Amino acid sequence: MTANAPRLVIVGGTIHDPTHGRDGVVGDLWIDEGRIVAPPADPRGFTRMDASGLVVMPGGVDLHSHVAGPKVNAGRRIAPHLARRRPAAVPTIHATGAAYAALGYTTVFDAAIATAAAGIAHAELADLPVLDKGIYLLAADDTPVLDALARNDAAATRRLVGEAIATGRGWAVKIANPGGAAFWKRGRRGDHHDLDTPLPDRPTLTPRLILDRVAAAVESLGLPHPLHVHTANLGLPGNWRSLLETMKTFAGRRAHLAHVQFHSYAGGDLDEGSFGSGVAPLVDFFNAHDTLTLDVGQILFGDTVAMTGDAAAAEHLAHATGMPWMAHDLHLEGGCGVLPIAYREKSMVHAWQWAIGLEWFLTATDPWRVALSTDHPNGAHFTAYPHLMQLLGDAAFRRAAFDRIHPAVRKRSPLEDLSREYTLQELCIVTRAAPARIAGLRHKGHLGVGADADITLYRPDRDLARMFSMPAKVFKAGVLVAEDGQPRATPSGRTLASRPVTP
Amino acid sequence: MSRGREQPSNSAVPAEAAAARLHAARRVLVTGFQGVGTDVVVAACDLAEAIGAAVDAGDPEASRPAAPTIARVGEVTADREELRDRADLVVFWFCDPEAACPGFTARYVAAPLAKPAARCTLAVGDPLPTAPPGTEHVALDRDAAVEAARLSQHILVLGEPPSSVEPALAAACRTITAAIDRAACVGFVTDDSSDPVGLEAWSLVHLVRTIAHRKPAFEIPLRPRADAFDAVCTWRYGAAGAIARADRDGGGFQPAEASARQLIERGEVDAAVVVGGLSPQLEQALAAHGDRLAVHRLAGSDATIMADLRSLHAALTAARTGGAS
Repeated sequence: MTANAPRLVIVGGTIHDPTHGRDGVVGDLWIDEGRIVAPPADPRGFTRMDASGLVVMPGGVDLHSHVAGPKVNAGRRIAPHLARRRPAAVPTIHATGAAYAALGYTTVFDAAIATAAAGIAHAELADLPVLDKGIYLLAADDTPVLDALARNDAAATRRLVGEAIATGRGWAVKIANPGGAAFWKRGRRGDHHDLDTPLPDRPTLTPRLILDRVAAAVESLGLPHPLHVHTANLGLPGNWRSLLETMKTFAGRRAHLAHVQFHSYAGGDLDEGSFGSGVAPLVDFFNAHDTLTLDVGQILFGDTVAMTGDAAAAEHLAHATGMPWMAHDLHLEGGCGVLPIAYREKSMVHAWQWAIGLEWFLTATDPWRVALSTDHPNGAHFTAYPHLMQLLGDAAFRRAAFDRIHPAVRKRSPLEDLSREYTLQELCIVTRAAPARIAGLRHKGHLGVGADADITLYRPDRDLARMFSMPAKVFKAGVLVAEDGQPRATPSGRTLASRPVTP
Repeated sequence: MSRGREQPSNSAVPAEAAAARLHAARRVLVTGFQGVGTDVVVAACDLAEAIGAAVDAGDPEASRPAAPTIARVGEVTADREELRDRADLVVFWFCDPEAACPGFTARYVAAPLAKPAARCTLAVGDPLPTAPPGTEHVALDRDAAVEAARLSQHILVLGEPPSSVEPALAAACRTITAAIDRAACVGFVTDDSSDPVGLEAWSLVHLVRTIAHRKPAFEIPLRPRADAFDAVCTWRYGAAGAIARADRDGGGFQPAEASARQLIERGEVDAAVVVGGLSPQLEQALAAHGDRLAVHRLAGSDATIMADLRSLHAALTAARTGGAS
């Protein structure tokens, strides 16, 4: 698998491997040819590495990030002041790989690439060092697919989506605001309360039908990851209804809900005064339906750059914030919007967003269906993951942060009453085991025999942010790639591409 | 290795000799990049990183720190096929398409519309000898491009130009807006490569956006294409050129200091590697100042350039490790 990967045994580490029920068990890991192997009969030739006192976890898996493609390049250039920071708000591709690796992450997916931009995205990802990587294709934005969906031609939909995945070397299919571009082109943001308004240019098609029919196509193609859904009305007050209707659409069918934080807002139409949390009814539904998975898209306070394949949402955000933005059109079918944004703890809306994301984390009962993400860079930079992990695992730290946010949110948010603290095992689940399982990566997210030898060793620390921000060692396919935050090697990672089942 | 523009062929110069000159150079510029693909740019950047060269394509986009932020706010663009199939009004906006893209008019404007309808063409600026028959000409100086776009937008929104506007400009803009009013779908063909500060692009974007709120309207930009370079340079170094020293750990975007033209004119590089086509502005700069520096050109198909880049890179590695003269 990896020519330069040494034969290695990591000895005496405290292993967290939720897939195999190991929760802080002291043990050894044997590595050969980039994979974890059973203890050999003849241990000669294996280099011994003492991990006594260190916490051993699988390499991190970021299920939903934005690291490549035209929108990311636009983001690198739209805010020069943020580009000069270290880390840059949108790092160069090499800095992205180096920073992820230094953080203990070894796999990343870019969650929104237009089919037409797949080639250039792969060219860029070929420059991404260390990490294995894949892309989710916005395959349902293409005109022929929408036409097939409107005709309810399941065979054509399946064929077209399958062709897009095959030629674009995609891992999964993403929908960003189903039908939203059609509404937006005609001057509206889509229907706020339901998913059943016909598209202006295709009266037999609704957002709900797009979701249902594309999810069926994805299922029949046998893709490892279910339909990845960024649903309608992102960022709008009252949009919790759209997310609830979206979840109901998939009754019994697998689907992954992206950055739910941005879709869980209570409040009236465009009424900031009634803005609030709509999480409670959503999480009740989610907890009761185990075919659904999600990533949160947590926001953290600070400056960043927002980028989305949902250009309508970006335009709304630009108008709301007064920030300059750019729309990147793709063949008049899809597009993306990009703009700088600053999340402030004294802003009521931003404080609500922060609290809503944490509410999701703390009330969703099954961590195996939850992936930790900030929707990098939309909610925050991925290098802020350790801070987020401390917010989840340290109630006192969270309480101190809660006490600093906007008073109106402190008064109304249920976050104050949530005392749950994620254990190390649960943090391991939401950062590697669950994202790998949700993505359909059989060889990642665990430390069993046959798994990729993507392994991160941490020094235990009550300060979880410090612990997770500076792994002692990071191995990618058995190669030491980072040590105490310093790069040690920059091997090329693999491209993860699905093989659709052919009829 | 050659001097100035005198030796356009890469094959004529052995890679070892070229590598030796690059190795000995005080500072190298890697430039060109017009019309080459992504793989070529990646390989050229690898070479530039190996020798710490400056990298720039001479593209005006790179000379402005946040060019897309200014010039592309709300830009509405479309494929050329959209122009061919849908636009019943084509406006050549201070642009000679044949100069920027030979064959463009025949392929995308003279072709019949997909729906049976007549197509109108309007040439704003200088007369266009290559325009399709029947093209209406609106004579305006290039210096008036920004004013014309702004005034046309004003007329579309408010109906009448302000009384203070020069009558000839007002009449020209009335002609433009009348044609827009008659059309069902409007395509603007532009070439803002000589636009020094981005105002032309900015003003036209706003005009197109205004129209697009009423009927399909878009822009077909024909500026010199270094798209692959813009993309690769941005993902590697964070900017679309003007990179003072190629380094994937931080490239040093210096628009006022490290543009190819500045480096050549100031004599701040003593060798240049030209990969693919060169912009006319840089050709002029090399013609004027090329005797100060050694120029190695890599031309031909992408496959040929890739092979030459690999040879050059290998020879350079050998030269740096003492394996070659």
